[in-house]
Amino acid sequence: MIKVENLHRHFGGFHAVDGASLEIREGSITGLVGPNGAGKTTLFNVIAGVLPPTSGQVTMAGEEITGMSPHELFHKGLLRTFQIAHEFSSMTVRENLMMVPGGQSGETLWNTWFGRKRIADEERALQAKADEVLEFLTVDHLRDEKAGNLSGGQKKLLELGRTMMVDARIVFLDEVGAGVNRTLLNTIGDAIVRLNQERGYTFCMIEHDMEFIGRLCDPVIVMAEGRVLAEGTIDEIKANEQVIEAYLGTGLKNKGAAE
Amino acid sequence: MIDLLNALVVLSNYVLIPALAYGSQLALGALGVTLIYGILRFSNFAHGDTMAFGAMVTILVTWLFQGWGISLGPLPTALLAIPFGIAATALLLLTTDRLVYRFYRQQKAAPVILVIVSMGVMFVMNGLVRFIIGPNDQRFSDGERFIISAREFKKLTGLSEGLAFKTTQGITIVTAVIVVAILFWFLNRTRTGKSMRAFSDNEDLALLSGINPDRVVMVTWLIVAGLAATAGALYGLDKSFKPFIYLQLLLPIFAAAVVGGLGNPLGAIAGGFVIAFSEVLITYPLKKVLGYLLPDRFEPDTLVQLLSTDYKFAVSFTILIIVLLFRPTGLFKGKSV
Amino acid sequence: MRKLLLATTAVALSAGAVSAEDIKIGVILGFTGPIESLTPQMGAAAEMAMAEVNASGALLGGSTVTSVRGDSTCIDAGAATAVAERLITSDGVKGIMGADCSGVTGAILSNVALANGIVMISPSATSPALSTAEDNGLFFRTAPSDARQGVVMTEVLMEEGIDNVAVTYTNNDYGKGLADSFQAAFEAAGGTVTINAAHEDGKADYSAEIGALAAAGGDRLVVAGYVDQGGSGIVRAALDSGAFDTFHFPDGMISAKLVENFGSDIDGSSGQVPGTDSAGAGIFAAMAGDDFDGTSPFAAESYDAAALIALAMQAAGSSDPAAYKEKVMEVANAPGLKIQPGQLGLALQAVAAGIDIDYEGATAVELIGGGESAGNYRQVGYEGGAEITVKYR
Ligand SMILES: Nc1ncnc2c1ncn2[C@@H]1O[C@H](COP(=O)(O)OP(=O)(O)OP(=O)(O)O)[C@@H](O)[C@H]1O
Ligand SMILES: [Mg+2]
Repeated sequence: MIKVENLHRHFGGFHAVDGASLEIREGSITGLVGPNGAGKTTLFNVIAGVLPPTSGQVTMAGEEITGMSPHELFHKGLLRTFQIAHEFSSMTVRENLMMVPGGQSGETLWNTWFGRKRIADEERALQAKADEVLEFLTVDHLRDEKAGNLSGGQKKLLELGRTMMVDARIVFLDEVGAGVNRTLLNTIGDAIVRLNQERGYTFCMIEHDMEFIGRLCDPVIVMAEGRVLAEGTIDEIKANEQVIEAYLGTGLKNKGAAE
Repeated sequence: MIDLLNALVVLSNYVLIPALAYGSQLALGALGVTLIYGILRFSNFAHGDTMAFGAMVTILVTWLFQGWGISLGPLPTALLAIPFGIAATALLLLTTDRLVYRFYRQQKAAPVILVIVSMGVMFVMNGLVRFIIGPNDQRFSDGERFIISAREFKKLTGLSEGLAFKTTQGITIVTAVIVVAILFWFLNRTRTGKSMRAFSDNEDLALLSGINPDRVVMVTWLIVAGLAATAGALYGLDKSFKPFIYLQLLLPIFAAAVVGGLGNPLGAIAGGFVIAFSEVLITYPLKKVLGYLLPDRFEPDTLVQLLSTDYKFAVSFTILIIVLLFRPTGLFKGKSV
Repeated sequence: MRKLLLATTAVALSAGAVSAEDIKIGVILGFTGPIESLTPQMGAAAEMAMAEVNASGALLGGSTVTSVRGDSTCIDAGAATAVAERLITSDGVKGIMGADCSGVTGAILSNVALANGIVMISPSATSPALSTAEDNGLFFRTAPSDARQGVVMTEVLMEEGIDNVAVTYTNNDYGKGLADSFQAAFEAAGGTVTINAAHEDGKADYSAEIGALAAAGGDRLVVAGYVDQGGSGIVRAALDSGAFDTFHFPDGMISAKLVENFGSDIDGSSGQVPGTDSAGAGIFAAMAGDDFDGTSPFAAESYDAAALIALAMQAAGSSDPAAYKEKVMEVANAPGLKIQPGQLGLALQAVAAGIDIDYEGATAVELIGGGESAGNYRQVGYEGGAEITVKYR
């Protein structure tokens, strides 16, 4: 599905992603783990078009997508969530969800004035969809709340909900589980599995909670110091000497390079 | 009782009506500034001269219409010409964006760089306007000058004070209300408007929600063109048109936008009226009003003027500083500056 | 020997003239500096008067006058003083036609002319301060003081029965000087100025200024501004708000543009502007012909200044400044035979024959006060959307 080849992303002299190569298989729920500062979020940012790569290549189903802009990738079915939840704070939760499917008819000025019937139909469908998603995530009571007022965990749910508004092909989740209580975490986990099975979403998720990863993901990819260190099932990873060492010696080399 | 009415009439004539018209003009200007700040994320110093450009095109087309003998009867012909002013301004702004701002946007330039760039654009636009129409006063209003003139009012009511309500003031206020209503309907009810708000709220998320940034930028410039040309033409119609005036107008317009909360359209409107009423009220001598209201022996013999009219612009400046010091996000919560 | 000398002197005196001499007259103008475009015409006009005097051969028994030019620079008092010093001590001039700008004129007067007892007649210094400067009767000017318009304005308004006015002036030396001199004259004449407020030129909107003026009130609004600048804005705002219906306009406002802007809205207003209906100006311009532009500002005043020096000498029978300074006012004012430009020869002969003259010259000269031109003003009114000339004063 997604293939990353020898990807580099440098910030000045600092190599946040330093020659990473990996593949995400279609239909999988791939876990991405690694110590803090390993370059996971940066890798997501480059794949999703938020940051241009310094060098290297990203392909999606055989098509090169390196350096495409986020909204173009969105329309190709590549979605992501943010490690620090983002929301349109002045809009309600439902409006936040309804914002998602970009490129609707209402977005051209012409239709704004003359395509009112079509827009109305679309809006109605969208609204129904948004309500369905909220119900799926068991937060329909928050529907008319201003998104800025949500709790940290609820915002994470909103992040996930956003990916459900359209038919995505691959979704990158950046620590959706962090800062979320057990019950809610289980809800999120169930939702991911269901989306994967029922709708055929491919997932790639960053997570620090090994138990959560172990329950959902196969395979698991380990990153450290901007590179891929290992790949395999959760048990293989847990037994890997290199991985254990990487977690203990967090970022020592990166630190040196930064100075 | 008659005294009370007279006091009220004086106050309306010199404070209420002028401030309402001026406030509407400032509000329209500040809306443009605030939209650019919210969506394109910089303070556009070229806005005053954008208004001048829109007004200039409106004037040229008005003259053309007048030459052809087209008129609106009692209403100024300029009303017919404003759409042309808007179209030309839109063209100018889109061209400027294509030639100048887009480059810096792609570089992800810091807002302060864009501010400096907008100053450069300001000088170019100002030069363009002066080159085309010259640096002098231009008059282009026609039609009925007054809805009610001071003399007619006195005759009608028998009061000793007159109340003048100019056609241009009436048009300014009505147009401002209509434009603001359309703008708010657009931002809150239409998909494009919502995309713009989303983009203003959180650019990263808007992009990852599939909103096309180029389209949002384009629509923003189109709306700004509409607001700027309308505000510029109304100001020129109500007061007088002179290219440099619009440069001076930048201060109260920015003050209005900041006072209301940069990036917040509702704030821009409130800010416009706050600035207009402060400017007019603080420099208005209350002597006559108090003369009517107070018993004879208390009648003031000074002008009872808080600040000489020379310091009108100082008023906006002072309000601007106070707001920045004590409430950087403005009256309505905007982005902090 | 002594007897012989006395006898010859007696003969000379009885002939009514001293022996012919070449009298030098300084022409001190800013040939370099801010008004260097005006001074060539001014200098040429003064020298035209001198040539006319010389051609007649009637001055002091066949004496001639010669111009000695000096550069006043218009702005550098030090340089102007040095030039005047040189002209008096080394060239021996007997009078000065000049200087031009008010600042250097005052400097030359107090530093050089006073000390050496030399007569100065300035064609263009208009500062009111020169009216009260110490001059021992040596200083005259053929241009009116700026304060003069304030007095004329007062007379116009008082004659119309207006004694309660508001004043607004354009915020510069001209506006402020005019407004202040008017206020002084108006109040001295028993009138009331309710407010005397400045306005800035180049604004789009003067409703705030009008608010203040209206609050102060007044029967008429005096607009000491420029018709192309804020003055029209003030009038427009005053009419729009109904604050004032009639106005009084000094020179900066009077132009065809005013009528074009406001038409019959300003009916009943008044004003005045420098101007004369005398024939002199036209004759003078014709005399200048192609040599120089006779309508250039202060050229006519320069001609008159030089002519007055020669006529006063003739009347005194001497080129001694201490003697002829007493005669300047006499030859300039009525009664007497009216003298137009081009009639200097006739005037000299008349004076020699003991006939009184009233020099009108190119600017209808009349000297008032300590010896400055009363100036000539055309009083205007507005009726039926047109400007009318009420009279000349
Ligand atoms: N815009 C940036 N400019 C400079 N350095 C950056 C930037 N973004 C990330 N970095 C650096 O790159 C390194 C990798 O950051 P990244 O956010 O990718 O780590 P991560 O693997 O997601 O860590 P965590 O598990 O803590 O989220 C960090 O040291 C970070 O400081
Ligand atoms: Mg991260």
